[in-house]
Amino acid sequence: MMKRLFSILMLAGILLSVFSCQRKERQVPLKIGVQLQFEGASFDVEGIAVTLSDAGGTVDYQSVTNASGYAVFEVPAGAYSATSVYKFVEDGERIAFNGTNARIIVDEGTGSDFVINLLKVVSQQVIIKELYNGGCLSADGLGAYQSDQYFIIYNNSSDPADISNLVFGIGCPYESYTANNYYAGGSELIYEHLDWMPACGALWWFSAEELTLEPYSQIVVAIKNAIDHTATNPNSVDLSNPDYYWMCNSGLGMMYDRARGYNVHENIPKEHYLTGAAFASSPSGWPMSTGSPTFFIGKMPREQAKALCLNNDELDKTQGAMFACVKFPKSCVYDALEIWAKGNEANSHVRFSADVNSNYVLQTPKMGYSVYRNVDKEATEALEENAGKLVYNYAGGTEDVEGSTDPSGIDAEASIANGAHIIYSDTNDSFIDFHQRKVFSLKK
Amino acid sequence: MKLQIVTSVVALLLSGSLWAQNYTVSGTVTDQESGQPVDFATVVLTSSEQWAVANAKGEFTIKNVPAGDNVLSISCLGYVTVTRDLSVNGNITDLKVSLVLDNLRLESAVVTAQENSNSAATSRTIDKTALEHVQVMNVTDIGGLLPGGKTGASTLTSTQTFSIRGGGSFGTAVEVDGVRLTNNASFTSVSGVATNNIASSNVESVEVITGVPSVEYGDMTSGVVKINTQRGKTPWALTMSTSPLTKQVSVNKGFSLGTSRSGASRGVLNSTLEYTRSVSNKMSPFSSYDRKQLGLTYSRQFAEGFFADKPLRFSAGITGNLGGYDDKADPDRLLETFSTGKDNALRGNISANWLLSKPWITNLEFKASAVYSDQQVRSRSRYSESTSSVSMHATEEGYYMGAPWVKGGENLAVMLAPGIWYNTMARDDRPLNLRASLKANWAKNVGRINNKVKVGAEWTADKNYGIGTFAEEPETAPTWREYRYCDIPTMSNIAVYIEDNLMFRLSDDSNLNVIAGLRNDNTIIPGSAYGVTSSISPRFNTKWTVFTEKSHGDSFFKELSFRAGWGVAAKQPSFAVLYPTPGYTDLEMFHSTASSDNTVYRAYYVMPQTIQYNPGLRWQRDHQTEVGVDMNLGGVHISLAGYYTKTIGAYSTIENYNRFTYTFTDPNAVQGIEIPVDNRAFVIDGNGVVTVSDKTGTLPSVGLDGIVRKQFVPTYTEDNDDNPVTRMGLEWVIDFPRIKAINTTIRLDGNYYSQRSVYTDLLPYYLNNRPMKADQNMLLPYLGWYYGGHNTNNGSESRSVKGNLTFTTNIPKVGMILSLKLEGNLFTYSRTLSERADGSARSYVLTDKTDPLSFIDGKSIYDEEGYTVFFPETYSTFDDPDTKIPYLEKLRWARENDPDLYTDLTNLLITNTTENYTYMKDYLSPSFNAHFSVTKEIGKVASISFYANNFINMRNRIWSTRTKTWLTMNPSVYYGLTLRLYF
Repeated sequence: MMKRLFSILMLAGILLSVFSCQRKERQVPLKIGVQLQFEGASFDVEGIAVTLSDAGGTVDYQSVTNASGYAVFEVPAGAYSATSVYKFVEDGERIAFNGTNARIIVDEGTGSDFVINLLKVVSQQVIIKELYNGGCLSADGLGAYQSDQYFIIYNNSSDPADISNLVFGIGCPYESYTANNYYAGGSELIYEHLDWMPACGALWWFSAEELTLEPYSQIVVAIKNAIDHTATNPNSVDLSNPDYYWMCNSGLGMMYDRARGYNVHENIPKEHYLTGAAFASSPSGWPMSTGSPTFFIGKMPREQAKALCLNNDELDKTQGAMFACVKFPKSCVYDALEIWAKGNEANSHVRFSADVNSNYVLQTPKMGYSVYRNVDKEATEALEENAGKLVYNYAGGTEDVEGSTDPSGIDAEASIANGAHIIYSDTNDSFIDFHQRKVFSLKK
Repeated sequence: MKLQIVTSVVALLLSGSLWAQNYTVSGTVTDQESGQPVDFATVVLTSSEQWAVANAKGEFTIKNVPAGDNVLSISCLGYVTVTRDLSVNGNITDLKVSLVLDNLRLESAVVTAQENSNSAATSRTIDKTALEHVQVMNVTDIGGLLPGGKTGASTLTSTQTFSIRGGGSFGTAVEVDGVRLTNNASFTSVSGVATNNIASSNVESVEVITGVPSVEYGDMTSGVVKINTQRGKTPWALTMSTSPLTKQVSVNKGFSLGTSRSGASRGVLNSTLEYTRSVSNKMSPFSSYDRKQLGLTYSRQFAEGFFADKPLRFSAGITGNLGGYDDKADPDRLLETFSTGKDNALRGNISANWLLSKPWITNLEFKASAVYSDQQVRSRSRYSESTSSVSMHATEEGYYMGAPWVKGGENLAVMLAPGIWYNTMARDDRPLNLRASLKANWAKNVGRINNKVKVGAEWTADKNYGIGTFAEEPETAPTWREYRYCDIPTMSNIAVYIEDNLMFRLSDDSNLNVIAGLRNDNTIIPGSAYGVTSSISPRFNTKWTVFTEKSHGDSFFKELSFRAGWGVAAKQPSFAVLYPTPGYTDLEMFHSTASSDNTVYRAYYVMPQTIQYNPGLRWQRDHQTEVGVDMNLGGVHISLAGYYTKTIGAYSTIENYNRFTYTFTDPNAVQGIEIPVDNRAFVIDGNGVVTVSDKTGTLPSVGLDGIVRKQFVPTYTEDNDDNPVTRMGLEWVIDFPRIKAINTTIRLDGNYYSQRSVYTDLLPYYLNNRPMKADQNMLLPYLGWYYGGHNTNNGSESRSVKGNLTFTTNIPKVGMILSLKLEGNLFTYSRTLSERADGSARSYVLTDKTDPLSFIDGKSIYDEEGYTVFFPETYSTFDDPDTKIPYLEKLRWARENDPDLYTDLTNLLITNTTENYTYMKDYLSPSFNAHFSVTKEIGKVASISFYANNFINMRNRIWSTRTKTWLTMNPSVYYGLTLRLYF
């Protein structure tokens, strides 16, 4: 009898404690507001979507602004990042207002109103369409194959683009998770409000004096070996196409050419060798990261770019002499992309100031994934010539492996193959503009 | 005059000895408990250095014993050593000595290192009881028992070496039963001999000499570790040990070989068979180190017939070890790859000690040993290349174009096809050390003076019979060069020494011991630039025993003695110092465009970096000074030892540079030529000109245009570092009297250690990672000359205080001993330095990190965090490398007058902008740890030991003032169990 009574009491005690614990864990939603601002004033546009993502990026909350540009959320306590983008076409230009506030802490007792400062972005004619930098599985599946890197630039407009003055470069430092002296111990990049940004190692440009990129067309540039990688690894890419270009290390004017792994196929004509100028050296070549690179394209007369590189007095050595940088004018930046390696988010810091690029896109290297541009659904569907040519139900993203996908749902490559003209998203926000693609686009 | 005095004293001593009367000392050694005779007991008269070994009846006889006071010492394996004064005034024939079994039923059992009270130099012994209690799997585990020593997780998967007083393992001598183990024939590392292949289960005791050792010991600078294995009759002993990382099973037995028809003992044979397996990761116990060892030692005394008056003690031993590292079983490794390393060894030795007891010689001792090792390593690796690559095997300077491997061909530059492949490389490393020594000693009492003279000679030879690196599959091997170790000549050393040990008996319990010795080493490497190198090592030790318990037993101050020593010791270089494996710079001069199968032709210029032999190389030396005091205050034994050591002429490799001009051909030059890409074949001539030809012979050959490039290339010279490294410290051991109520003793031990070294030689350095001067076709046409090399720091200093508190509870009634040891890192400080020889600044604090001239002269880099800059002292140019231009002066001038030169010169400075706390003082907060051990004897048939290190799982979080971060110290809980069975 006593045993039974004791058992009942124990059971009651356990149930009581379980339920009391559950009560404690239950979180009451807290009401917060997000105000959109542009140049210090409220952005009084109604109906703009605002997204609140939790710190892990696993849950999104959506709301829209009222006439005062104010959006209301009811969310549990926690750390969030709020993002908003507002796009429209005006006088033939595609314009976007976008912004992010990554420091939203929701808790009882803290303030309930937060601000997103919007930046105005006028879509550029030439953009980065794809960057394949992380490598793929080796032929025997026992390791990574990272001798293959390329990027694709794309004319995102209906007019031919003069690309003879395009400049290519990377930010500083090479990896997002290495100590970044440009933060100088603070939370803001020291060039956040300056008119320049650091570009590390070297700047590149096309060799041809005159080069035009036709509307809705692209150029493939091999970063490392411009060879047929599929000859030794079927998981990789054939970069020996005569139409492709190659970043020729000897064209940098340094001794990078001695570094193994920088080879070119006979098919690539000399005229397709890029040239450039280096101002800091790495013994293994131009250091495009295989994990967490930045990459930008700019527009600048090549003589000006060369002078910038060779003027050592003007080099910025905040990150150290080995990581000397040119002070690249932000006004010359066309497009920029920032990638973080998945798993290193906690140690990473963005390397572009918000007026050049906000946010980053996550990538898992060594798996054959690439970072591919999202389609601007509205703009693309608005093109009359696309009627009946767009392919939907895009399945090329990596959302099923905790990656990302193109929210437009348009399969850009299939649509292009179908004769469609694609207009890609260009909001200067890598998180909004790019996703991780399951298979790089050159693999047909 | 001095010579006359010395001659007179020697004559006096000799004459005294001639007139002395001699007697016989004989007796019987028995077991106190059973009354049975103890055979093989060693009986030594330490003052006259005479000895005997007891026979099967426990009987011993020592003849020709001089009259006078002597000290009798009787020892036998398994028994407590007995020492007593013996006054010899006539024949002593019925000496009865009974020995007590050495076990945990004795109150005197200890499990800590014991000071050798008779030694004038600091020396400590760890006996069998202590070794078993801490369950030594590797002899280096005893480090935790020395003052301030720390206990670590025992594993054999990493190389274990001894290092004494911070002197580095290279200078620490290790001997097993008198057989010196050396690393002198190693080509791969300048470090001390690894102890992994020394069996631990049959070790009887370990003596660690940290003070100034006798001149008998050469080829060392940082002390001596003497490992003694079991010698004598023992029962069968089966030992089984386990810990998370290491398992061991061993069988030991000391066989008595009976007696001859004349009744003489046929000797004793000690045997040991041990198997030890250690893994590096208990979660993945597959990568392992194995030690399989068989040891046999035969000992015998000849005291009959010819040897009746002049007994001879003979010993011969042989030890074989099979084992090494192997990760083939590790499922985590990449399929088909593996890494193995043999650690096979064969050690043989003989020794003979002949007691002559003549007026002019007491003992004559001969020793010889041979140590042969097979340390072959094999490694199979996976290779992956997207285009064809070239593996270089050429050793002569010149241009080489890669070509497919040809069986029987020279294959100096082998073109490897693209794809994935596996290849096994190996290194054959088989060092042999031979050693023979002859030592005579002579001991006499003259009045109150006991004089012992030791004279000896020693010959050693080091040779390596390995063929060095070789490829098992040469057609797919990566870049490697043949360097046959066996072609390097033998390094021999002949040493002679003399030492006088004088003991002045000042009163009944007061004496003064003075030891003076001189050693001369002559290292001979025939056929080499080194020739013959000599070094002289004088050493002195003295100990003044002021009084002992004999006269002051009733007073509070019971014992007091002082000791001091000074000496020089020289360390022979190893082959890794004298003949380091040559390096090569392979500069790629050309690579073609890729063909349809990704074939790329590549050409290289091979630049050998052969070490320049330095005929002026001196042997590295340590000047060691030590003082010590031992006292007993009210039963508290206190031992203090302070030392100051200066290492002079440490071996160091320095870089010099030569100018080099070569022809470089860009892939641009070949792209688009008329010969179809798949038909092209390439050759390069002696001037670096590349020619492409048509394999089909259809089209004419084409010479490609190259450009001339320039750069500095390094050469290396082995040299002596003239900047002394100083180390000093204090060691203390305080043993409190036993607390009888709880049978517990308390020991407080610890050490203070301080080290400082600054390297200030002016050395050149070529910064080959700076931008190329396009107009000059070279990276940087300047060579900087830097104080102490080009690193941001050129020295370091550190200080530490470590302390241990050990409680040992002995329960003799049940044969059990327990110990609790609290270990503490009480104070830890370190700092990197950047200084010139006179202590002035070598680096400067910048106020503007982008402006190298914004430094504040006089502001210390050590005061606070800040970005710093370090300038070369001078620089020279490619065109005129011999003219050294003052750097800072020129930099200031160029800033105002020549912007291009200023830009170039700024590339030579070394800034420190990424780690701005480089020179800050680093104080670590204290950390503590606790270990528990227990040993229990179960009658005479078994004993069991258990330890739990860090048993309360203290994971100290330690604050670093330099990095301002928390570090985690102490390993996780680690435990071990050993069972010993005797039958």
